[in-house]
Amino acid sequence: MFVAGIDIGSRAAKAVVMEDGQVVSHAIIDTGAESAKTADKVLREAIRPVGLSLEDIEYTVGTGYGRCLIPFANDNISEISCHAKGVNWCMPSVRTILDMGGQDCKAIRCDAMGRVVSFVMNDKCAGGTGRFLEVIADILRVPLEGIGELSLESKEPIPFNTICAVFAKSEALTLQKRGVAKSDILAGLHEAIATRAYNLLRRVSPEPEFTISGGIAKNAGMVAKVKAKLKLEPVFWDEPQIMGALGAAVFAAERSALAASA
Amino acid sequence: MSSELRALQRIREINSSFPYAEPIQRWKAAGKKVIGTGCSYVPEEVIYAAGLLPIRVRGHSRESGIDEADAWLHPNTCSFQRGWFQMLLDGEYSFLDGFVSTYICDCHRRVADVARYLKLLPFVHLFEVPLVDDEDSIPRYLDYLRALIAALHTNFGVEITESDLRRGIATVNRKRDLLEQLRTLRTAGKPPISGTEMVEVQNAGFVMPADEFGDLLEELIAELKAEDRRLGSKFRLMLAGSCLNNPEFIAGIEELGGLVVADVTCMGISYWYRQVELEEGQSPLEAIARRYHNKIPCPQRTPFALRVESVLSLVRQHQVDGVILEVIMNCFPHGHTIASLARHLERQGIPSLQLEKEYGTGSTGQIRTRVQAFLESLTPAARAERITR
Repeated sequence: MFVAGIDIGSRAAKAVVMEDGQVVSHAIIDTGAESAKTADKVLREAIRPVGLSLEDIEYTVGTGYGRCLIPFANDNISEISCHAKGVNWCMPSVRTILDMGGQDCKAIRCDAMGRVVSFVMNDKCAGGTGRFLEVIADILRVPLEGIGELSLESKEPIPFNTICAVFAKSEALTLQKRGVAKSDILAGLHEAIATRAYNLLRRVSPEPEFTISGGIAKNAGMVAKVKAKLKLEPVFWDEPQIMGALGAAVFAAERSALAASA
Repeated sequence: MSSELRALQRIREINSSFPYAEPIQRWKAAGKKVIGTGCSYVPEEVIYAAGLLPIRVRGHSRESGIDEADAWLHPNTCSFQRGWFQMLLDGEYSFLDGFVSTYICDCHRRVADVARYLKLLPFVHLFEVPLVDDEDSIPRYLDYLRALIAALHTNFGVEITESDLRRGIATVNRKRDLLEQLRTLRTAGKPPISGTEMVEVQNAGFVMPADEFGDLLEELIAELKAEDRRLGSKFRLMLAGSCLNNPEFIAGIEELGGLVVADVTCMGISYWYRQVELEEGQSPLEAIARRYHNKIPCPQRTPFALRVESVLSLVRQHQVDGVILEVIMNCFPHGHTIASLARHLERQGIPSLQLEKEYGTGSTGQIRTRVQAFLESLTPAARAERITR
């Protein structure tokens, strides 16, 4: 029996398909304007390589910002609960999660069952999130995938006192015109974002077993900075960006089993 | 939702004409004057004693935008003050004959100052509230009450006698007594009224004479009992925090399965909690001073321990599963105490969610995500575990 979890984030949509407690496939695409279409598209992308059709999926749970707008989902569950669930499924010892996404950042503490014990989230300003890094990568003309590595090459990081995208953008431009190395600018910006993430984490009293999920978890520069601040070694699963969708799929499996037994 | 009650229908009609609600229009048509009040600490008893109608000012039920208020207010002014001040600039409060507020926080005070400077209101009085928690504050409180009486006398030519004050006390006490009866109904296993409806009721009370509101409350309580209304829910929630009175926000929470059974907010229980107790041989003014001094569970003028005690007592009475600690951005009195209140709740095994938001916003977007995640964490299993821990 196949189940699916779909995470419609602000920047990327993710789908995970599971069968009998195993991940069968997954897909990641850019989030389009319409959540319903995006959800349909990302699920099709996930099932195509394994030769499934939409009818094969018995139960679907939606999560992420667009979770309420997926017409074919059986349920919607907040991404906070889904990240905890997904992490618990693939890394059961983890108790603290830092989810760094497109437009927000969350620190989550969970129990041995993958239930949320407490969480904090940045407020609605998206400064210092994935979208912010996109803007900076764009003005520095560095591919987004490369900014983390580049920031690690810095010899003299430039301190940034703001994570406001507008202010940081003009500051970065000014520095660049003055001939400051891109790596130093990026190192400073990564430092500012990591500090903010660290402050969020402190508010949930992090435990040693710790992971980073979300798109930014793939940024080596950010991971290094958070690690240094927290003085903890994060553990990772193969694909941190799909953690929310994975948790949604695990919930889907649980709920479809519950529905079948009822 | 179950059958539509007549009293609730009437309450919605009254609210639909906010801010210049129909009962205020009738009051004005009779040639009488209306005073806007800015805070739970304004002694309405004195305003009623002067033959004036106190109405509680507030903003629209929506997030304030980028508007003219920004030209006059510092960026750290909270969105509650910003919201009602913009309405004042737009002329929506032009029916007010005066405004009485307190120096409860800088936002309150400065907005009143700007209103005075721009001559937006014919009469502005800032009522002092003593900060210190001791018996010496009572004589000072009496001085401030006398100053308010003198200001009302000068501006409106009214003499306030002791019997006027007794009448004012009786008027406001009746309203408080009926709201307390409603609160008691909400302690039931299946309360007859939702949190959304309760906010609508309280909002109507802000725009009508207390006597008329009292009659409406009596009708509502009788109807609730007669209809045998019982609202089930997955979780019983308390809201605790600053100014919060938009029904849409609470409706959003209740849609997700949490019934709001208590609201310890500036415009909820904190506003009407506890009566003026007039003892024999005591002057009415002293009785008023003693009610307002250190009796309201407000974090600004009440010792914090008393606020914690009030909140915990209400948590027990209403069998609350979780508390949403709501604080509007830049609300310093609440912002500085909310983390500490959360810790006190945690020690009692009560989970809480700290929710920072703008005044007037509904439960949408990120706010909804947080509330939903909080409710998801309140599973029965997690609850049982917390209790044993």
